[in-house]
Amino acid sequence: MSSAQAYPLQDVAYLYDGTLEGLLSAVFLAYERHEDPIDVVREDEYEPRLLQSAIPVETDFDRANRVRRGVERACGRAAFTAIVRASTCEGYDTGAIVYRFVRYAMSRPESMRSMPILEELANPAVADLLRLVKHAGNESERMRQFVRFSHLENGVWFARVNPNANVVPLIMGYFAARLNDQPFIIYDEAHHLAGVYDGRSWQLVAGDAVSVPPATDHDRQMQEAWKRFYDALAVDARYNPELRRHFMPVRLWRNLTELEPRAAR
Amino acid sequence: MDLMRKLELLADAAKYDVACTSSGSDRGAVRGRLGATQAAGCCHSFTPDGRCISLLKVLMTNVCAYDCAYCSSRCSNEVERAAFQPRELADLTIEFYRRNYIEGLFLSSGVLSTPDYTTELMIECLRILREEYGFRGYIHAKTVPGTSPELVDVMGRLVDRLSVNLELPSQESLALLAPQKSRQQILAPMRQIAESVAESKETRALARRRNTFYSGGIQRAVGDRPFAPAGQSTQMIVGASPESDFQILSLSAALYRSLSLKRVFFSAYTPVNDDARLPRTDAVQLNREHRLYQADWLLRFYQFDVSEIIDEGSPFLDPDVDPKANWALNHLECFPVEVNTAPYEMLLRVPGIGVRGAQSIVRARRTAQLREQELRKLGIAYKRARFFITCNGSYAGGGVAFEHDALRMQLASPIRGGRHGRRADHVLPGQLSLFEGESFASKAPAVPALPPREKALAEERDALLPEWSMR
Ligand code: SF4
Repeated sequence: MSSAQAYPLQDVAYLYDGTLEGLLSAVFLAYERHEDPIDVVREDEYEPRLLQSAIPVETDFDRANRVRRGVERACGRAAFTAIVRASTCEGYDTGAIVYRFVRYAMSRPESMRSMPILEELANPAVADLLRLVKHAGNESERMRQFVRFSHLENGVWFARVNPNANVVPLIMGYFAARLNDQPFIIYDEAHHLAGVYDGRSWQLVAGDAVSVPPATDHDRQMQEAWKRFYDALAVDARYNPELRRHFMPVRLWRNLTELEPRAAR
Repeated sequence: MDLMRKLELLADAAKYDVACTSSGSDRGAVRGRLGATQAAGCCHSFTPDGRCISLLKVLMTNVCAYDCAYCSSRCSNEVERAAFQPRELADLTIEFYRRNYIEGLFLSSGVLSTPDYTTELMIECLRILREEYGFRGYIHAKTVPGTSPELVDVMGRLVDRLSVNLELPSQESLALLAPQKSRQQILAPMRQIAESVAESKETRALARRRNTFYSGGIQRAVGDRPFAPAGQSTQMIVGASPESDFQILSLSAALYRSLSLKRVFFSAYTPVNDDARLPRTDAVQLNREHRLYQADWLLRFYQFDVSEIIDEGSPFLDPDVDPKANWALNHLECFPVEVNTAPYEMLLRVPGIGVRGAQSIVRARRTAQLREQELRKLGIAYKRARFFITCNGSYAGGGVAFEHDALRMQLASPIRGGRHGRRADHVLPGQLSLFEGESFASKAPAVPALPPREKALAEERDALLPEWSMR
């Protein structure tokens, strides 16, 4: 926020660090400066526009938390959950969509209050957010379907994923519940983020470098068994690769055990 | 025989069984125990033909004392035989589950010596999973025809879904093609399961009812495990015997009504045996199967009655027009409907508007007048719907005469597809959209936090990814 210019500025972009807290800090800043930024963008993606000033936003958990409380008070828990999901999406306008949604959420006319904000499908501020929520939901579901763990020699279960939204934080709870007796790591190689579950609780660890010990022999046998099972299920008479691609997008194949090349048998 | 080979054989023999769904059961996780289920189920992979793989679907054994004409495991076939040890299969299930390959186990079996003996083997495997390993994932078991009711009861309390295959749409066909199975043998356990499921739901609800004002209440312990909380489904083979679509649909409607079945699966007959009792054809009736699923869909989600879809006079579904469009074409007097005011039930009948579309319309029109522009955003197939609706009084289906034949041309959607496989022109084009352009598919609700819809969605998805196959 170390801008020398006078504000409010007319044409301004806020640059945040890509985290949810950063994004909400940006929203807070807009209220503080009485500004209405055109763009709210991750700093590493920003494309400067002519005559636009760019303000870097400092991530501040307390400010972010105040925005959260504000939204929850005005529009309920579900509205904030929607924001969390939407914020995981890639795309240049994600930040701006979340920002506009919060603005609308905080200024809803009294007459609308009886209806949940997320049902205002015909309102663009809501519809845009819901589009992101849906995308994040779909991608989370894909992860619930297609995460593949392997058992490493150090006892940890490890899965590598490449979702097209930063959804690891959204799926950790799900896996930590159903696989609660096995410590595991889900590493998102696209967003360089690992979800780590130690057998009790989970946390996120950012980082590029992962060194993964080899899988156990038994694990390799199980992978082989799974491939055999997969191959046995194919029904020739119904071969329909388009349909398979539709349900199981090719971009995810590289982390799917059953689609790895087969060793000669 | 090594485990790999066994797995191959017993998965291969089970793959013609339909219904690899893992839906209908919602069991949260418990600390220290492996597994949970979610109401909507989960597909973990897809075969090269696009069918869902949700469960480890295998036979306990492909040894079989029976001789069903259509089955590759029948005793008169010379095939390699194998059987799992109960513990071996339980271990494999756990190993696959921990790797997130599957939601659980789908277990059926050939008849090894007697039905009861076979069932006891299956029960032992399920018992190890549930009791020794504390496994909380999904289990679907198929009863072996002729199993005694006591064992059916034991099995029902170990599984999420228990089903009995109807096999064929009529008693005569059953007698001809599956001579060791009788109608009685099939219907009796179906009835038993239906009653046990209902009873178990009732007692559990009673036990859970609040009976005091003190916080927490006094809970009576619910001792038993619930009986097949995800209910039962069944499947029948279509095209191996002469029954019409009318007979098949009437039968499935009756099953939904009287036995509260969750799903009736149809499975296009695929020739695996050379047998004089079977149709001499190489073609798989996938198109017919597809239309039957569409009709089934109308029965379950669109509040249609069988008599509205098909009648004895023309007992087969129209291959060119889907059954919903067909109804609309025959009832033009009901259209066009005004989207801003029409009741939900009527919106559901508009070709191009699906369950989700109709729900979205009803919600969106509370705050805004809907015109074409808004409508297009609500996930409906406007191209089809426009002939049957008005938006704020204006009709956008102009240019096409509002009469049966002209509209039929617009709505005709012969099942395309078939670029692949040796029976190319019969390949199913897609399961995603049962009626062209209507969107049902999304796995995540478009709008979060709508609890009553969750169930509908679960069912929707269940039906959407029907993972059908054939036996
Ligand atoms: S359908 Fe079942 S009972 Fe009949 S032969 Fe095949 S495995 Fe045996």
